[in-house]
Amino acid sequence: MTFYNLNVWKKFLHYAILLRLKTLGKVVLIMKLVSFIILITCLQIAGDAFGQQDRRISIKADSLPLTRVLKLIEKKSGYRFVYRNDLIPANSRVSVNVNDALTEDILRKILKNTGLTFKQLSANLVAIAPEEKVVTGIGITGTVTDVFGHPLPGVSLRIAGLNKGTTTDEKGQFHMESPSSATLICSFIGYEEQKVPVNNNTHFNIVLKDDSKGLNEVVVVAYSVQTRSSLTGSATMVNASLYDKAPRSSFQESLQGNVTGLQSTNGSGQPGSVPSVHIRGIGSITAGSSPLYVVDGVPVVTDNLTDFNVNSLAGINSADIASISILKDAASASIYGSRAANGVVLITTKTGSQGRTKISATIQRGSNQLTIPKANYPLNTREMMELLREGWAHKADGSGEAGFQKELAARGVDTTVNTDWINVLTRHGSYTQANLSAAGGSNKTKFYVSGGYYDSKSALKGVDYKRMTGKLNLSNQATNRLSFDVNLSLSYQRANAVGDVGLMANPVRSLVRLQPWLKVYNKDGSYDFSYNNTFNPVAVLDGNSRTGTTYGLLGGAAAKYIFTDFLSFETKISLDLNYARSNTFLAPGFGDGRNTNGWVTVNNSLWNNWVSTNILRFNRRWGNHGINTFIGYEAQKTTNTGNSSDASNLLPGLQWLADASKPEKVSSVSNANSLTGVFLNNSYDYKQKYYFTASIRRDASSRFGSLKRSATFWSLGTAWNIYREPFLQHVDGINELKIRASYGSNGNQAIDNYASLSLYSPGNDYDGKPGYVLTQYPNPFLTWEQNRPFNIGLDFAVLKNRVSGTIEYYSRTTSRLLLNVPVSSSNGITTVFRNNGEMKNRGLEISLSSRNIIATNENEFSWRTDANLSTLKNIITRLDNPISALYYKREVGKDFYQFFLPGFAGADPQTGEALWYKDGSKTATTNVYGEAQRFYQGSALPKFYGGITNFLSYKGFDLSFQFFYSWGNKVVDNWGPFTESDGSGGFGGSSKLSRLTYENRWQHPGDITSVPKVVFGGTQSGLSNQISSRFLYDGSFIRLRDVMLAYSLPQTWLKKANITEAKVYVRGNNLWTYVKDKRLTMDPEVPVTGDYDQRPPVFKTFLIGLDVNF
Amino acid sequence: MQKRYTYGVIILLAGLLSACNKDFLELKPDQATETGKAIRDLPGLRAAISGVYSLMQNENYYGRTMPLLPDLRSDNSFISVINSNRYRNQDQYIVTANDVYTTDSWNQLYSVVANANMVISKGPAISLLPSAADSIEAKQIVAEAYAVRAQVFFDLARMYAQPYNYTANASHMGIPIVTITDVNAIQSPSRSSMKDTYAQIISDLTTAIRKLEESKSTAFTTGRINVYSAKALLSRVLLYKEDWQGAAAMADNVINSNKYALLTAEKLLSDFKITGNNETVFEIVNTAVDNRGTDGLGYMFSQDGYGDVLATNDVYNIYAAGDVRRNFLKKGKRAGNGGEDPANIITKYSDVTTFIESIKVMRLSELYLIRAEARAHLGRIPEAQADLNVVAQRADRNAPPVTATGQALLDAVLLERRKELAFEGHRLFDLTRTKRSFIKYLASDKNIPVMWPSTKVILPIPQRELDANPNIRNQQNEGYN
Repeated sequence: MTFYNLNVWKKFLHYAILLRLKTLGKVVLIMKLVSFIILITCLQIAGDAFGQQDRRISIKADSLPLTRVLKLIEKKSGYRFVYRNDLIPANSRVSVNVNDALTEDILRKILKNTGLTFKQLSANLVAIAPEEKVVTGIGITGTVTDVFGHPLPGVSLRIAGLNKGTTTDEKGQFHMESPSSATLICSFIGYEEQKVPVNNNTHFNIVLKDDSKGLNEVVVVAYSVQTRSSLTGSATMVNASLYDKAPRSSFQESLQGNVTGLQSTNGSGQPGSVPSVHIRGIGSITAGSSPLYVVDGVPVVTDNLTDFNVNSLAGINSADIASISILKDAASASIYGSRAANGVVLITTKTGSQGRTKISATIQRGSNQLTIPKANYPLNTREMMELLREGWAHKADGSGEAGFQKELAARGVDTTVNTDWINVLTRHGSYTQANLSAAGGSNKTKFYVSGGYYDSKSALKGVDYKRMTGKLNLSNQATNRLSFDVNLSLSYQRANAVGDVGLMANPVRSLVRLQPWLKVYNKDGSYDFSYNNTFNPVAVLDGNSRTGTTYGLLGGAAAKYIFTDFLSFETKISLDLNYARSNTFLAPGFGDGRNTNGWVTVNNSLWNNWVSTNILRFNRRWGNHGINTFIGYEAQKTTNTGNSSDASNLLPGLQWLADASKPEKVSSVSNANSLTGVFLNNSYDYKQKYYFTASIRRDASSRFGSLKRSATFWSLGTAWNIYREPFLQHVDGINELKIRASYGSNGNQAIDNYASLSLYSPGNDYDGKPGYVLTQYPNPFLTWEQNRPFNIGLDFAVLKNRVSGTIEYYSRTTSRLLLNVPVSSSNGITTVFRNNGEMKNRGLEISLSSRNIIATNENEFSWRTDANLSTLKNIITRLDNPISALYYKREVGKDFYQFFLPGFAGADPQTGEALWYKDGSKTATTNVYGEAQRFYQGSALPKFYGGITNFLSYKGFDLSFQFFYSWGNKVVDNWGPFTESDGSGGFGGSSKLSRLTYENRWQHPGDITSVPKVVFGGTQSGLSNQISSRFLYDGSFIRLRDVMLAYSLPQTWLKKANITEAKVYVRGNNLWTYVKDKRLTMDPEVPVTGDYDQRPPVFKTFLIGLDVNF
Repeated sequence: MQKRYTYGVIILLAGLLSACNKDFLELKPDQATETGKAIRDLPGLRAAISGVYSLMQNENYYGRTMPLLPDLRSDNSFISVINSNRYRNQDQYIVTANDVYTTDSWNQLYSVVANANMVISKGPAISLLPSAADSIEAKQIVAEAYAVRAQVFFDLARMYAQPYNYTANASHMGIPIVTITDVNAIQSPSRSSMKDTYAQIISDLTTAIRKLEESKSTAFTTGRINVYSAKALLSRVLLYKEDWQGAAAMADNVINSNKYALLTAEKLLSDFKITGNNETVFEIVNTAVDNRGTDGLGYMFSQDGYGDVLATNDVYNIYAAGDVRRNFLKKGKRAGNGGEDPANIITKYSDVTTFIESIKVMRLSELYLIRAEARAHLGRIPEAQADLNVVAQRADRNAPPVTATGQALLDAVLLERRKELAFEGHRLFDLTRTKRSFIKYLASDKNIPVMWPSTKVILPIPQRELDANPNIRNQQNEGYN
C-alpha cells in the first residue's frame, strides 16, 4: 500500500509542475484538479462534444499562437481550459473568424490538424489533450523474430484497447508510440499471438512461436532449437501429455511405446529404479549402450546411485519438464561427439513467460495392484500334495502311500496349513503425487518455480518410494544485449527396497517358491524360522531394512551476449551434484543376520559433475540464403567418491553404526573422468527449401589411452522441403512433404574411468598385511567406439493435414567396439579391453497421426489416433572369438541377445521322462541332460514394437488410451528350473511347483505334453541346473498401458472462483494385457536382456487426479 | 557499460579455455597402482606376495571349492535335498563346460599363477638390496612365488586333467603352462602333456626349495611357504607321480625336521581349527578382517549357514567308535523344514560367525601317510606299517596295529587317508590316482556308480576358455562337448 501511495504522490507532483492552470483562484478547484490529474494520467481523451448548454461566442484571430487563441476563448466563453503546456505545439498559429458560433465548434476548428482534442470535464472545465496520441505515450522500438532468431517482416503489432498499430519492416523491426502501461499484441499468421506488457520499456525483442504443428513445429535439438522443416536428421519431440504428471516415477518409463526406435523397459516394480533405454538397437557389447541424457544443457550423471536402484534421473519431476527430444541419428546427435552413439535424450525444463503469474496445482491419488491374474496364482497345499503324491508313485520304490505318509511325517509337513504367500507378501499399494508451480514474469525477468511430492507404496510389501523436488528457473534481460539465466533443481529421493534377484531375502522369490504348507508364525505368535534358511519372508520384511536415499542438485548459471543481430555468445557453467546413501540393517536371529547380533552397512557416495559450455552463434539470412552456425567449447569433469562401513553387534532396537559394538569392514571409492570437446555446427538453406547441414566435433577424454585420447566426429545432412516447390503448391491432398537424409560418425565412451591403464588393485590383503593383485592389462591405444549412423526419412501431411507422419529407415554400424575381449585365463585376467568387433543395427520406423474427426469447436466430438511401429535387426558382424554367456552366445552373424541353450523336446509320451535334443539339428533326442548340446533358440530382441494411442474429446471430456505392443521376442524364465523342478526337490521348503506343471504334467503313457512327469526327488529332469529351451517363452504381448478420462470443468463455474482451468481425471496403467504364449504366466514386460530374475513385478496403477490452474 | 560486459564475457571464455589444459585429461586412479609402478621395492614385493596368497583365499580356490569338491564328487559327501543350489551339477555328475564353478575356479587358479609370475619376474631385481635382512626377505618371497605356482599347477592338473598315471608315459593332456606374465602380450597357450606339467611343477618346487635354502631365511609361519612346506608339497606331487623314492625322501625330510608335531587325540578336535597349530605344514590363513561370510567353507557345512553339504553314511561308518575323527561328524538334523533327519553334519569347518578358520592345505599326518604309501610301494613294509600306525593310533588309541602287506597294506593306507583327510579335498584324487571305481552318493538314497576309468571324474575345460583361446579349442577333455 505504501508503495502505491507513493506513486500517486509522485504523479501528483509531476503534473502539478507541468500543468499550467488558468484562473486558479478558487480553492475548490483543487479537488477538481486532483480528479483531473487522475483522469489525465489514466485515460485517453476520446470524446469531443460539449454538454447541452454550450455557449455561443464570436472570435477573430489572425495567425495567433494557439495558446493565445485559447486564452481568448476562455475569456469570452467562461470555460476554463486545462492542458499540458508541452503538448501544445509551440509554434502553431491559428487563424479564426467566426460569429456567434458554438464554442465546441470553434475549438474543433482551431484544434484541427494539431493532433489535439478536447473534453468537457464539468460545466466550466474543459480539458485539451492530444487526439489519439495519448498524453503519456512513449516511443517504443523492437524486433520480432521467430524462435531461431530469423526476423519476421509484416508482423502486426497493436496496442490493446486502442485503435493503433503498426507492422514490422523487412528487418522485422518496428517503432511506434504507446502508453507506457499498455499491452502490445503481436500477431502473425502461422504463429501464436503474443501479448507483451510495455511497462515503461522502450525496446522489445519479441519471439513468436509457431502455432501450427507438422513441419513448423519447433524441435529442441543439440545446443539449439529448430523447426522440423529445417531438420536434416532424426529428432523426435515427445508429446508433453504423455509424460506430464504421469504416475510413473521416471519420465523414461513414459517413453515406452511413444517414440519410434526407442525401447524403455523397466521390468521391475521398484519405483525410482533405472529403466533401461535403448535407442535404435544395441550399440555396444561391453561399454554402456544407454543414451546420453542432457538436462537443460548438462550431460548428467545417470548411474545407479545407491545399492537399491535409485536412479538420478527419477529425481526429475516430469511435471517440470517442458520438452523431451530424442536425437537418433548423426545429423542430430553427432554434435555430442564421443557420447552420442547410443542417441541423446534432451530434457528442457519449464520457464516462465511474460505476463500474469500463472499458478498450477495438481494432486493425484491412487492404488497399485499386482498384475498376476488369479488363474496364475501359485499352487495351494492340496494341489501340491496331489503332485507330490503322484511323484511318490512315479518314484516306484514300492513303499506306496504308507511310505509317502511316513515321509510326510519325517519331513514334518503339516498339510493342514495352506498359506497364500501372495496374500501375505502383497498389499493394495497406494500412490500420491502433488505438484504446485508458479510461472510468470515481466519482459525483463521471467521465472518458473515449482515443488513436487511423490509417494508410492508398491503392491509388493516393503517396496516404497518417496520423492520431493524443487525447481527454480529464472531469466533476466539485463540490457538489450545481455541476458542471464539461472536454473536450479533440488531433489530428494528415498526408496525402501527388498532383497532382489537370487537373494533368499527376495519376497518375489518367496511368492513363487515357498511351499503353501509353511507357516508365517508359530502357534505362540513368533516367526517360524524352520524353512528357507531362516529367511521367513515376513520376518525379513518386518525386521530388516534396505534404504537408499539420494539428494540431488542440478544448477546452472548462463549469460548470453548479443554482439549484433546475427552474432551472439553464450556461456554456461553447471553443477550436477548427487549425494547418495544406502543403509542396510539386518536384524539378528534370522535371515542374513542370523549369525550376527544385528548387522548394519552404511554406504555414502558423492558424485560431483561440473560442465562448462561456451557457444558463439552466427545466424544470418541474405535474401534466399540462410546460414545458421555455432561453434562451441565444452569441458566436463565427473568425480565419484565414497565410503562404505559395516558393523555388527547392535544395541537392541537400533540400526545405526554408532549403535554397533563391532566394526566389521570399511572401504572406499574414488575415481574421476574428464572430457573436453570443441564443436562446430553449420546449417545452410536456400529459400528454406533445400537444407544442408554439417557438424564436426573433436573430443578428448581421460578414459582413453594416452596415445589415442582425441578423436573427431562429424555429420552431414540434407533435406528437401518438396511441398514448398511450386509444382506441389497446387496439388490437392498433399500439405507437407519432405525428405531428408544424414550420415556421419559419433562415439561411445561409456567404460570404466581407468580402462586404458594396467592396474594392480588393492584390497587383497593376507594375514593382516596389505596386498595388491594384477587386475587390468594396459591399452594405450584404447579409444572410442565408432558409430556410423545412416538415416533417411520422409515426413508428410496429406488430406488437409488429417493424416501426417514420418517414415524412417536407419542403419548404423558400430565398429572398434569397446570390448572386454575374452582372453585365456592363463594371462591372469579373463578379459582385456580392446577396440575390437563390429555390430550393425537397422530398422524401419513409422509413426502416423490421424485426425479422424476434427471438431470445429470445443463442444464437438474429436478423435485423433497416433500410432507407431519400429523394427529392429541387430547383427554382430565382426568378433574375433565367440563369447559365451550363461544364456546367450555372441557370434558373428547372430544378434547380441541370441539365446543359446539345450533344446527341450518335451516329455517322452511313453515314459514321461524329459527329452532334450542332442543338437541343433533336432533329429535325435536324449534323456540325459548332459548329452544335449546347446544351440541357438531365438532372440530376446523383439522383431517389432510400438504403440497406438487414441485421443477423444467431447464437451470438456477427454479420453485417451495407449496400447503398447512388443512382438517376436523370446523371454527366459531363468528361475524356471526351480519352479518347474518336476518334484526333484521333494518336500523342500522352497521347491513349490508351478501351476504350469500342475496343469500340463505327463500322467499316463500316451500323454503328449511339454511337461515331464513329476518324480519325488527325481533327478532325470527338474534339476535346478537343467536350463534349456523349456524355460524359454514367446514374449509377444499387447498391453493397455495407459488410460485417462478427464473432464474440464466449464469456464462459467470457474470464473467465480478465479480459476482459469480445472480438470478432474481418472487414470489407469497396465490395466489389461494380452500375452501370446499361454504358457507364460509371468508378466511379459522384462528388460531388454529378456530374463525374469525374480524382480518385483510390474503393477497395475489406478488413480484419480485434479489439475487446477489459476 | 556494455563494453565492460563484453570484456567480462571474453575474459570468462579465456579463463575457461586456459583452465582446461592437458593435465585436465590426465587422471590417475586413486585406488589402484599402475603396473609399471608396482613391485618396485621391498614393500611392493611384500604387497605382491600378500596378493598372491590372498587370491588363494577366494571361494573358487582354497576358500571353498578346492577343499570341498574332491569329497563332494566322491563318496564322502553330498548335497542335501534342501540346498542353496551351490555345486549341484558337481554333486549330480552333470557338469558341463558352462558350469560356473568350473569356470570360476579355472580363472581364479590362473590369476594366482599370473601374480606369482609377476613376483618371479620382478622380484630378483629387488633381491639385490643392500641390506642383508631385506635381501633375505626378497629372495624368500620370490621362492614362495615359485612354490605357490607349483601348487596351483598341481591343483589345476588334479582338477582338469586325468591323473599322472592315466597313460603309461603321462602323454595325455595336462594343463596350459604359463611361466611368464607380460601385460603387453596376450598369451593363448595350449595344454602341455601331463609329463611336462609335472616336470614344471617339480622344477618350480625344487627351485623354491633351493632358493629358500640359499636365502637362509628363517621365517616360519604356517600361513606362508617355507622350505619345509615346499618340501611337503613336493612330496605330495611325487606321490601322485608314483616316484615313491622321491616322495618318501621328501616326506622324511619334513617329518625329521622336527618342526611339526601331531596333535594329541584329545586336542585334535579342538585344535584342528586353530591357525598355526603344531601339525599344520601349510594353510591358507583367514582372519576376521577377511570375513569370508556366506562364501566361507564353513557356511556349506554348518546348519547355521547354508549347510548344504552333508557327509555320507558310507564315510561315517568307516570310523571306529573310539576314533576321535568320527567326532568331526555329528549326527543331527538338516536344518529347515523337510531336511534329512538324521543327517551327518560335517564340523571340520563350521565357523559362520567370525570366519577365522584357516584352510588346511597340508598337515603332518598326510606326510606320514605319503611316506607309508611310498614305503609300501618300495617294499619297506614294516616302516610303512609304522607310519600308518602313527596316524591311526593317534586318532584311536585302541586301533590295532597294522599288519597288512601288499595290496591290503595299500588299501589300508588309502582307508586311513580317507579317515584322516576327509573333507580336506583329497578323496576324489586318491581314488582316481589309484584307479578305483566308487559310488557317488546322492540325497534321497540315490547314488551313481563311477567306474574307472571315467571321463567325468575330471572337470571340463571351461567353455569360456575354449572360446577365448583358439589354441586350446580342440583340447577339451574327453566326454565333454
